[in-house]
Amino acid sequence: MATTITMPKLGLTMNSGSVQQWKKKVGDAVKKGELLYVVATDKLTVDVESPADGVLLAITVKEGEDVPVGAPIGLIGAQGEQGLAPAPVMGSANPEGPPARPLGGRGADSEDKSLGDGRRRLMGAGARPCSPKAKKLAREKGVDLSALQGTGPQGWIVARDVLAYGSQTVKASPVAAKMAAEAGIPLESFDIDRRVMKADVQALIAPPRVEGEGTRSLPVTQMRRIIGERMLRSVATIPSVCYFAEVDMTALNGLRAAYNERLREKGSTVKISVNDILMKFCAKLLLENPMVNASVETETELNSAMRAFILHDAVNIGFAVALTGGLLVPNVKNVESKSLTRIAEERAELVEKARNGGLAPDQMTGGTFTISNLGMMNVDAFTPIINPPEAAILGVGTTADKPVVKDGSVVVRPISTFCLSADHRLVDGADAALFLAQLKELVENPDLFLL
Amino acid sequence: MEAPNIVKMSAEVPIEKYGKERIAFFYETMLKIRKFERTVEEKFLGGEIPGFVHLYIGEEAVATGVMSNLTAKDYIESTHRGHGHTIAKGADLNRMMAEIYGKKTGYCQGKGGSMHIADFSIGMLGANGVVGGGYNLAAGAALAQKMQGKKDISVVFFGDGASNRGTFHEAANLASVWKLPLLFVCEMNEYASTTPYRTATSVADIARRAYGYDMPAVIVDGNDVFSVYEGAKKLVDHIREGNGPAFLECKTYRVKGHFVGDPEKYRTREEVQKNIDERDPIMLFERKATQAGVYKQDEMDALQSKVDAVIASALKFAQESPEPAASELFTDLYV
Amino acid sequence: MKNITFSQATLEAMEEEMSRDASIYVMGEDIARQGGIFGQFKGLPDKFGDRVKDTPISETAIIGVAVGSALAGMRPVADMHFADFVGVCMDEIFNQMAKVHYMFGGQKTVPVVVRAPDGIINQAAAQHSQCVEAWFAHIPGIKVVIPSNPADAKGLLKSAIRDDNPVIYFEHKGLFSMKGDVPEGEHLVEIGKARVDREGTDVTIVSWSMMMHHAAKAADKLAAEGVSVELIDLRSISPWDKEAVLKSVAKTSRLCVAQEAVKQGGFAAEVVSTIAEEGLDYLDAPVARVGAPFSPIPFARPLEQAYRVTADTIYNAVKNIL
Repeated sequence: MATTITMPKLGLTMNSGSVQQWKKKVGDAVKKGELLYVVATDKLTVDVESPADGVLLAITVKEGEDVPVGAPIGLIGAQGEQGLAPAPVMGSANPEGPPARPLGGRGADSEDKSLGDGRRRLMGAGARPCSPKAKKLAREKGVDLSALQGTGPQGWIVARDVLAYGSQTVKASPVAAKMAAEAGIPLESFDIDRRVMKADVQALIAPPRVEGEGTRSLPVTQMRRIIGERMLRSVATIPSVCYFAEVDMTALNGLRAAYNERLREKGSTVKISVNDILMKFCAKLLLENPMVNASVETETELNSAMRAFILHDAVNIGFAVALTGGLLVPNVKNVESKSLTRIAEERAELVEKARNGGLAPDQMTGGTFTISNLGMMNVDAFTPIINPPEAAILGVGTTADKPVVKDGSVVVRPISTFCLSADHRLVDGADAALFLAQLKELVENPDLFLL
Repeated sequence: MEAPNIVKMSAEVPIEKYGKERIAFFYETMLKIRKFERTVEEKFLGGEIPGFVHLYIGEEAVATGVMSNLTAKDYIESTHRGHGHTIAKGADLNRMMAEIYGKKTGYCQGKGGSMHIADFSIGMLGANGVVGGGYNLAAGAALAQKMQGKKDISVVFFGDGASNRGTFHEAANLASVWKLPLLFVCEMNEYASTTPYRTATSVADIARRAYGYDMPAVIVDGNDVFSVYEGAKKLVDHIREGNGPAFLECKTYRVKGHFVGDPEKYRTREEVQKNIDERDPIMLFERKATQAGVYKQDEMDALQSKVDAVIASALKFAQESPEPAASELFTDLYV
Repeated sequence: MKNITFSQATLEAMEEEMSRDASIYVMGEDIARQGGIFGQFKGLPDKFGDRVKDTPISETAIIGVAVGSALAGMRPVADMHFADFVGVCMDEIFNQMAKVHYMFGGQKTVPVVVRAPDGIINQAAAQHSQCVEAWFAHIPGIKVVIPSNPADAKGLLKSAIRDDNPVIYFEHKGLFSMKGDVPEGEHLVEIGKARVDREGTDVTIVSWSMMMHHAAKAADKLAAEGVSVELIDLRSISPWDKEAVLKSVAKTSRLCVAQEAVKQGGFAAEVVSTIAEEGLDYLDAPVARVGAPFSPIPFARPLEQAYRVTADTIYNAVKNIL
């Protein structure tokens, strides 16, 4: 029985490749394990061995021709055996499966003579009808049609079935797609192996309560989905390290009280927060430590190969605003050039908008650094997750009186634990340590700000 | 019973009253037709000429006598048996023969063949492969002449068989009510394809049908070129004066089969031979001309040789001409 | 732009063209004194006198005379009264009119326009209701146009009159009273060029003449269900704009062709087979071919209703291929 050689999948992200060079000619004898051809992808070249013993019966791709993973590229079999059947498609789902047979035909005219006992068995009696477009797509993408469920008219396998199989994207009826989009439900969240219909979307919008076992099902909101995606992407793709420092907040608190007293006297309604002052301090330090105020540019969002470091001239500092069912991270733009009162005003405005759902998209994008302050929540310390594509995030714990040694004696001081999570691709340990130390020094000696 | 509009005519003018030129036209035209067709017949039987060929031999006096009354501005609509009309109207024999040979140099660049020859430059609007297909086209041409304020006329030739087509009756009626300058010329040659005249046609003289459309008719001996000329002249003058259509019936005889190769099971060899011996139009002309002394034997011999040379040259031209290229299939399909 | 009926649009085309070229004349039954049975020639004789001719009831003569006069330098427009009567003069159309230019080696052009009012209107029964355009799409040497709206009616009639080839102009009787915006003066529609009536992405519906309006209704209904229809008006069926249809099907992957004529052997079959030949890989579903049942057109109301192709017929056909 002939063996079809298909374009191998040489890595997670490989979708297609080309045969750079055939090491054998048609008609040459080959042994299993012997070097047969060289595959080139956009990243590498790989020597590929023959999958079988026999004779190279056919080569069906030209050298250099890009073909999808799984597409047939040649045939190995016994001398004199038939060449490739008309457009066979070897399913990736079934690489060692039965011999290739013509696609989509009702099969009445193809028979399996391999039974060898004189009986003839009609093949493909259960073959489903398939649209010409789907056949063509399947051929191009190397998808095995027998693995597909037809969702077209009269159960036809149609293009969307091939595409859904190829990309794992979910297909939906036009109405279902519209409803899902309006409800902010990504189609990918439907885990069903057929077309998503209107009823499926409706079921998710008003999910049935599963009572009795103590569990309930809740729909995933758009906000939760985004939080989930971003956080997952961060921990999955960013090598972060957390650096801790205990910081004496005496001076900063004093400064803040003095500023607010002064503002109150002037009749201003602005109130400066600890966070506002930390933003201003961080802005100064971020300009001095440009790699902390930077991003990594990768090949794609999913392909993490680094192409460049992008250094930002502006310091846009994000901060988390907790909301029912989630949070938003707006950012104050150009913190480095704004006064503390202006920062406080903008921060207050952003908080207000976040709560009212009035944030503009650009107020939530373009951040270069984030400060997450859980001080109000009595959290001693925590390791924040970097908000991609930023390089670092500062987590600020609660300020509590603690005994510290000062000038050789134990004294009580308001102490907060800062945690800097930094992307090791941009910021090495020493750099992070320096940044954190400089921050601690500034917080404890705010007059150094002017130096 | 005689229809009151019919005149039976024979030439009453003494031959010597015809000018030398007209006499020469009669003889030379009939000879050209006869010799051209003899050559076509020979080359068809020899396998050189493809398709269908319908011969006019024996009917030459009709085309010649009628056309002698026309100018190049007058139109004619011809039939599947159309070589005679085309030659008499003044067509170029080289291009005709080339067309019959299916050559690029033919009148229709090889697209038409024997049954579909036209030369619009001399008012020959085309032979027609459909029996009775020409009447209304001729009526249309006559309408155009009338609308354009011209004094020219149109002539449609047809056989006795074609007179049974409904198209005749529609055209005759329309031409009559619209007073179109149209002459109907019926070549009563006794056979509609293979069907003898009286087994398929209701009237003894087809000219009687003209009565139903209120148009004058003349019946002449179609094998006597002088009679045809005189009959046609009377009607053509009538039409040119703006009196509407007229009908000329020429009693003639189709000496050859319906087409070259016709087994002719519908008539006897004797009948055919009797017509050739007694009524051949060229023989009748020669007899009258020599008797009247308008032509001497040596003059006639010289003319014969001249025509032979012209036909030989046309044959050579056709044989040596290139065939159309296959790429010309779509040429002239649309403008 | 003027809001006028289909019938007025054809009249405007006739007037403009006849004023432009004195060799144009028009003839037919009941057109000069009566103004045409659908009013499509009303007032023309006042302006053009003898160039508007009532003929005897002799369809054969009408077409034959048209062809003959064209050979002698005129540009006739011949009215067939009802498209059903074209059968009477079929020889003049397909053996004479269609052949003369080609068969005589291009010596003479045949600038004839045959106007043929076709289609079903309120119980006109078997011999006054038919759509016969497909017969003529089968004849090389003639062009066939079939407008669906007043603007195209004018533009195509003017183009047909100016065309040096014979053109058959089908005008649906049910469209004569339909109003629409029509450009004033010089407005020509290129013969052989389809019109994309609306753009869409999910399915292509190809149609022409009256059936365009049923197709548009079906498309509206489908749009309400989220199905985006690309609707193409062929306007000419010989030559026809296969590139436009191929391009559209390449985009939508689904094709429905709707015609009023009987489905068997209809022009829709030509469209569908062409796509099967040249665009099979575009198709993601079976094609839908909508046409009337293979029956003469009956008289009685329920029978005629059962015969008619409607917006629902098209809608259902499209639903079957989604």
